[in-house]
Amino acid sequence: MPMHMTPPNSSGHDDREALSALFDGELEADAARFAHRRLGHDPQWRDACGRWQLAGDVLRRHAGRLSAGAAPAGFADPGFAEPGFAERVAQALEAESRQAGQIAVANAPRRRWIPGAALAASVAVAALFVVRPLSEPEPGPGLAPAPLMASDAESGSAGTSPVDAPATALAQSEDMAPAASPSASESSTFEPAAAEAVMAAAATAVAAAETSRRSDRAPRSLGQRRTSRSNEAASMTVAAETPAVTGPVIESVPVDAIASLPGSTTTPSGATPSNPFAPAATETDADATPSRPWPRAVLPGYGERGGYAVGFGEAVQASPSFFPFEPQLSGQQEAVAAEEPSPPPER
Amino acid sequence: MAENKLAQDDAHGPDHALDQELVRRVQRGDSTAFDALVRKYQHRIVGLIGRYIADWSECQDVAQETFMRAYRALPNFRGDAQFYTWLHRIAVNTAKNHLAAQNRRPPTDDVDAADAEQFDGGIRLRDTDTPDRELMRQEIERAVMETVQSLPEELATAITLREVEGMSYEEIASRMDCPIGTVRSRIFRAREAIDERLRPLLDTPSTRERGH
Repeated sequence: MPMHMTPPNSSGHDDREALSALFDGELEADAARFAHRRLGHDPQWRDACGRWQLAGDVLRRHAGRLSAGAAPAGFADPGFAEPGFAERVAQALEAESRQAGQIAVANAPRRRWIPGAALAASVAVAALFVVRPLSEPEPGPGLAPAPLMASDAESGSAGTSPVDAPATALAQSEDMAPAASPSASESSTFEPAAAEAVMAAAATAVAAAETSRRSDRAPRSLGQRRTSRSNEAASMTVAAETPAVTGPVIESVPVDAIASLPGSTTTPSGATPSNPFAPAATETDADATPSRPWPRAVLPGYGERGGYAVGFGEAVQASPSFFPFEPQLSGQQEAVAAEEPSPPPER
Repeated sequence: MAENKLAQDDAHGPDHALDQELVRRVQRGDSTAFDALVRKYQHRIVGLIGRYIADWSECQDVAQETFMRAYRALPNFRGDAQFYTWLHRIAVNTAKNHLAAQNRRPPTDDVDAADAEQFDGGIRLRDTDTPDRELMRQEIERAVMETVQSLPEELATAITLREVEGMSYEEIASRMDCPIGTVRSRIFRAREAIDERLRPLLDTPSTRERGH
């Protein structure tokens, strides 16, 4: 091309030449990708393609090119679309997709309640552990009052909120609920199974913590407590996969009674369908990793006598506030080990 | 008639690579790729529908409906046929459905019941375009033909071999005894010259604002 005919914007000239080659399908792979990208965000390029196509149709019509057996003469009439035709098509498609989106949004809430129901079920389970201790009877003789989490525990009420306990149970339940929720969105029958799984997980976590606390009769370091917490989380994750455990089983069986059952068989998750609080079969006193004890109010059957504190199995002393790292107090460990929980009251 | 494959669909094999890639992009959710397809074939589809529907406004509406149907059906388009062949069938069916629906409505002054017998044959109806639109059509054709006739011989030959004969760049280079790059440049320059004449006739106000 003569130099005097070089257009002022040679770069744009080269780009449109690439578009012309792309239009003919004669552009190499890398250059074609770049040109397609440019075509996607440059409306002028798209307009140019439309005009080039029209020009080609006019040329073909005038040349009288028709395939064999095709339309009669004049078939390839170069009709032309009105200005703004493509914009109107785009607007119509956008309106249609917006309408479809509104319909989808209207239908969406029907599916959103499923994970919400699972969460509500977990909250209900946590509330169960909070409410039940309030109605339990006084501990029998020989049982020292267990450490309390609040200052009014000695007055016999376990009602002061064991804040951590239901929150922990709820958090642990919530941890399991989202894991189940993806399947919930896929099936409308998930919701009952999710609630049962949450309850089973909470019960199993209580059992696991109870068992580990019983086996731990030595003061534990902070690192040991952290290890025990991670073990509890792992046991709860496995527990989430266990078959559902019915509610009455959880409520009616005292923790200690179940945990002390000899020869109780367990599933790998640490709970049987009828004995959710049984310790894991693989766990022995020697191998048990020291775990953080559950707050008193979380455990059924302890009520005013309080739950377990750090160093369960050792003599512990009631403390005015719940502090998981509270140092062990001598003289109370044997008393706590010997105490026998009374059966929980009927709901 | 209208269902037969057009000569240019056979002749222009390489340029369908553009359509195929655009269809792929649309199927991946790229709406601008569909806009490119609309702009590329809007004039041809309107011309096709004009053989069935005389009224200009209806023709534009049916063409719009054609592209909307194509967009909805694109996810199911497997590429067995060329995109324009597939679009062509949609346009014909949409036009026929539109006419069938019209026949069910009370007769109006615009639709002659006797003309309905001619619809299935695909015979072009009497053109009832307004003089302005007919003038526009003629002006477009004139602009293209006069521009090509005024081009240097090498440019006119290159664009004619490409658009009318449907030859590839390599075949044109062989015919014209020049490098492929030269063929590419000549075709582009011919198109740009034609575009300079067509753009003022077809531009929308928004297109003009973009700096044409």
